[in-house]
Amino acid sequence: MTTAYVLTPYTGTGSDDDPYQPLVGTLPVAAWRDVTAAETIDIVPVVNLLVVLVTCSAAVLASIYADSRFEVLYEEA
Amino acid sequence: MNGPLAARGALVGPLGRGGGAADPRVVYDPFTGADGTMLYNHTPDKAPPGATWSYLPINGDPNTLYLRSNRAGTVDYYLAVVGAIIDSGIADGTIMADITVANSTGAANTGLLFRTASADNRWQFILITNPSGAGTGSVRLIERTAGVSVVRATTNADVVPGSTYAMSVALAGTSIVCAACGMQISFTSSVRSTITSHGIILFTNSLNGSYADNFTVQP
Repeated sequence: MTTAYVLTPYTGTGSDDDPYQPLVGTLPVAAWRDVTAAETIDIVPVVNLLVVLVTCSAAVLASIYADSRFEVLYEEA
Repeated sequence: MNGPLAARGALVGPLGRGGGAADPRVVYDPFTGADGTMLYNHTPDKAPPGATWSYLPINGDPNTLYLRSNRAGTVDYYLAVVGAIIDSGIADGTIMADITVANSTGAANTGLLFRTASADNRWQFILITNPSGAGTGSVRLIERTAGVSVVRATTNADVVPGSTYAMSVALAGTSIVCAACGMQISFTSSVRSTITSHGIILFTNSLNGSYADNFTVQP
C-alpha cells in the first residue's frame, strides 16, 4: 500500500443516499480522508475540488496518475 | 464478539462495580427493559437530569425503534433508517456503543450519531456491509449540514452481516477520531461544534434489523 495526496472533484448529490464524496474514492482504494475539510456550504451548488489523502495499491495509484480527472500532488514514500 | 469489545469491557467493568473511583460516564444505557418499550419511553441507567431519548426522523417512523432482548432494535419488516439522540451535556468526549449490523446483503447504515441537532444537521460514523454479502465492507464518517451530506473519510473494513462491533468516536474540538473493526479514521473539521446530543443510527430491512447496546458518553 502507498499513500498520496490527490486533487479530485466531488461526485454525488448530497442526499442521504448519495452523499458528496471525492470521485477518486469510487476507485478501488483502501481508504481516503478529506484533508481539505471544506464546509458543506462551500461545496454546493458548484462542486469544488478537494484534496484527499488516499491509501491504495501501487497499481491503483498508477491508474490515478493516468486519469486526467485527478492530480497527484504528493506521493509518500 | 471481537477484540475491541473485550477491551472496552475492561474499561467500564470496574466502574460499574462501584470500586471507589467516580464513574466518569455522563450517559450510559444498556437498554434493559421490557421488549417492545419504545425508545422514547425508555429511561437510560445514567443521563443528565431531564435528558431522554428523542427520535430522529431520518427515514422511518418513531415506532420502529424500541427495546428488543435488552438492546435497542428495529423492526424486521421494511426498509428504514432510524435514529435516536440524547443530550449528554458535553460536545467533547467519547461516544461508544456495541453495534450489531443487520443480517443484510445490502448496505447497512448503522452506527453512531454525534453532535447531532436534527436529522439534517448531524455527524454519523457507520458500518457498511459489502453489497455482495461478503465480509469486506467499510467504515465511513459522514457530515450532514443543512440537509447536505458529505463523506469525510472511509476505509475498508471486515464488516460481517449479523456481527457485533464496538464502535467509538473521540471528540476534542475539531478533532474527530473514529474506531471500529480494528480500523481507525481521523478527521479534522473546519468547524468546532458545540452540539451536545449524541446517539445511534440503525438500519432495518425485510430480512433483519440492527441493534445497539451499552451506549456510553463520557468526557
